[in-house]
Amino acid sequence: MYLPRIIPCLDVRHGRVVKGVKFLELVDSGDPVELAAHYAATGADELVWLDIVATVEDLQLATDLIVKARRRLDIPLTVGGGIRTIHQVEALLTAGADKVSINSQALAEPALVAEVARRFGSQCMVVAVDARREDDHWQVYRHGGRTRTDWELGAWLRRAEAQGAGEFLLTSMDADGTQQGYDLPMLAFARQHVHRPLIASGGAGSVDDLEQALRHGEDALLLASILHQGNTTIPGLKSELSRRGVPVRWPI
Amino acid sequence: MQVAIVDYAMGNLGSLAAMAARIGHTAVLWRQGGLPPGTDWVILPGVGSLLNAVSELRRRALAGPLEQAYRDQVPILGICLGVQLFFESGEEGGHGLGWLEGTVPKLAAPRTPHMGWNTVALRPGTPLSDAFDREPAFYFVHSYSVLPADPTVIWGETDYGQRFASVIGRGALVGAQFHPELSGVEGRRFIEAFVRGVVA
Repeated sequence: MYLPRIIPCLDVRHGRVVKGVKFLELVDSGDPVELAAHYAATGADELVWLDIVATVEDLQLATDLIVKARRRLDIPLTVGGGIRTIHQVEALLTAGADKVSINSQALAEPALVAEVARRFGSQCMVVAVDARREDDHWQVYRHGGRTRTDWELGAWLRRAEAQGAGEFLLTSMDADGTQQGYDLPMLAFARQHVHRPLIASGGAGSVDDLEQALRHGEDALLLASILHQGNTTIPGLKSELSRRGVPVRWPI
Repeated sequence: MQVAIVDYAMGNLGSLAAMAARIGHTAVLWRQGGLPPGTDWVILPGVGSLLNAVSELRRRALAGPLEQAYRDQVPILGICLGVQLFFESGEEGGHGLGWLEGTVPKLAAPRTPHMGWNTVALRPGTPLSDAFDREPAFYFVHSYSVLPADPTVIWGETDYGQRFASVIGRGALVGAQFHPELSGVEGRRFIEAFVRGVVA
């Protein structure tokens, strides 16, 4: 039986975990290696680790942490954040990431997606997309949601898949940080445009939101702020989903 | 024990080395030439397509020594592309090592790759089946799967669009279409059962 993926997201800056609220307000809180290991040990099905690796120093700090995390993680790990070059991709994969996630640079240089897919396989090429509702469509944004692009969502997803994207991480900027539920209309729209796996991101605030998304055909859910307060845990979410008849992986 | 991980530039080996360390085995990377001295078992990993895999093994002078290890019945665990390499040929013209009769067709599923967690129905009576008291779930990433000519080598099956062979075994040769090194506690149990039942 195919089982959904429940995927905690770690936002990391300068070697520390931060939590994101509406993208721009960030608050410091924790050791990313410890937190990643904790999530894995308590039933996370996969992890997304978002860091900023733009400078040589940032990249070195991130790879050192990922080497440490890899030793302790027995689930898949996706790393992304500010990746601009094939050299950075290679460094992160060598450090132990199973996949890399690329957002802004994929928009600026779609050939990078093709190059990663060609050299390392499309299975490790996650294209992250931030989009926001505009009148009758969804528009793609870059630079952490700060800059509007000319891309309509469906057109960009198709282009990225043609370039070799093996998976998508799709964040609804409208839902992100609200804890009011996933953006199901946007996700359903996106699924019509891609054949690759899609991770739903933005809006998870309760087990009801997870159940609703899974019952609407989503099969990979990113969790961010819902886990940051500490009163919601992955075992808690999974046992409640299971109780409600939604199959989940229960790794005991 | 010592495990030699075949390193032929077809994928990431960090998670495999970490898994070996977690079960107390010493991992060595087998990059060229003969089987590293002291090796108890071999992991044949790999991601991607069969098209390049055998030529990469040959280019690194690994194909011959690997064949020798197989003939000497050194326990070999093929993972993902590694189990596909056990077979004769794939679609799109790729060739495997031909140790087992069969092919590697594309998965007949609406959405590929098959990426994520899925359960495996293990056949009773194999060295792996007693390790689990229910159907275990493992992490998969693949678009092709093996189709053995001899159904008795199928040790486990999984449903995704179709039913396919997800665990293969014959003697000291065992293969998993999934990634036990990325499959949490149950992945570790799978590896430990392989070590107990096939290596030891």
